[in-house]
Amino acid sequence: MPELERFDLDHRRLDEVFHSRLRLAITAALVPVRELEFTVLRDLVGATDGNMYTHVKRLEEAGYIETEKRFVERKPVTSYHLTGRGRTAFAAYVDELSRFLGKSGEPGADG
Amino acid sequence: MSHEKREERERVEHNIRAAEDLAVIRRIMESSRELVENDGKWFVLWGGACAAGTGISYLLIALSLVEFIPVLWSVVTVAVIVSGIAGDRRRKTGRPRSIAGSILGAAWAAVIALGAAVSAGAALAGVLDLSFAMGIVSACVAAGYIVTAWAVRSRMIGVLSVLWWAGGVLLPAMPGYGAPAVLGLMTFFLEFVPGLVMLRTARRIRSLNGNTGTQNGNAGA
Repeated sequence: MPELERFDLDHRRLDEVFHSRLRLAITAALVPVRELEFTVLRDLVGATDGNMYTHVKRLEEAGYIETEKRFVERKPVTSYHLTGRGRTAFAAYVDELSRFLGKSGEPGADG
Repeated sequence: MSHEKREERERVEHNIRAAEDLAVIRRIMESSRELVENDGKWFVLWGGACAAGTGISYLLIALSLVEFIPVLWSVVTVAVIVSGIAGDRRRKTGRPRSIAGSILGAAWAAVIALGAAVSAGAALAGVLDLSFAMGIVSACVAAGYIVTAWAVRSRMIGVLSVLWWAGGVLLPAMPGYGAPAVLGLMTFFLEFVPGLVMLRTARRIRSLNGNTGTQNGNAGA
């Protein structure tokens, strides 16, 4: 556990979309890759189908992710990728969290 | 409870929440990246083996044991493929594979097959000039790096791909045994060393996640 220290928490500066840890995890999963399929994403974040649909829809409404549907080996596959807006919002959120913790060099978009 | 105590408790809770969020982000990002690309192990394996193979090849040339060079490279190729596949199977048992990851795997298999065919063909048949063959190998590796950079959105790998392309242009212009030597150095500095960096980063993130106790596979809602 990191050392607890005093900080000024301003909720207005935190993106409400990421208040759900599942939405945060979905977005984080899409940051380092071009795109991910629904089932892969679901297993990665450990969610149920119903939970995933709800949170993915919320992220789509916010304009943070986009959906792509296509057929692979005659089976329908739904993939998601992060938009520029989503990438910016995620980076801002991570920066804000890092600032709270008085850290620097937290995860970014590039590997 | 006094106002100050409540405020202090809220601060602590928010701080814990922020730390947990960052731990979740780190773990998920690393896992996601590994679904598409390995954690640098293949780069270390291929880069290290090819650089060492080049050094040993020069030693064999110096000792007038040139006939052992094809045997050496056959052993290196088989050893790297077998150890890599065995390691991947142990680590990824039961894990999903993304389409991008499958494309990347196929692209690298094609790169290795083409590079091995061209360099082995050039060495054995003498159809191609050795320097020209090294240039083709470098260009093949550059293609693999470009696909990797596209799949994992990595600027570092994108920059490395440009350097490999430069090798594809410059190596054919090198006389004698200069081109294989430069290719050996390139595999060390542009593949082995970046692979070590990627491995170190992946291990650091895994250990950080271990310390914060958030590697149970569920992000929570």
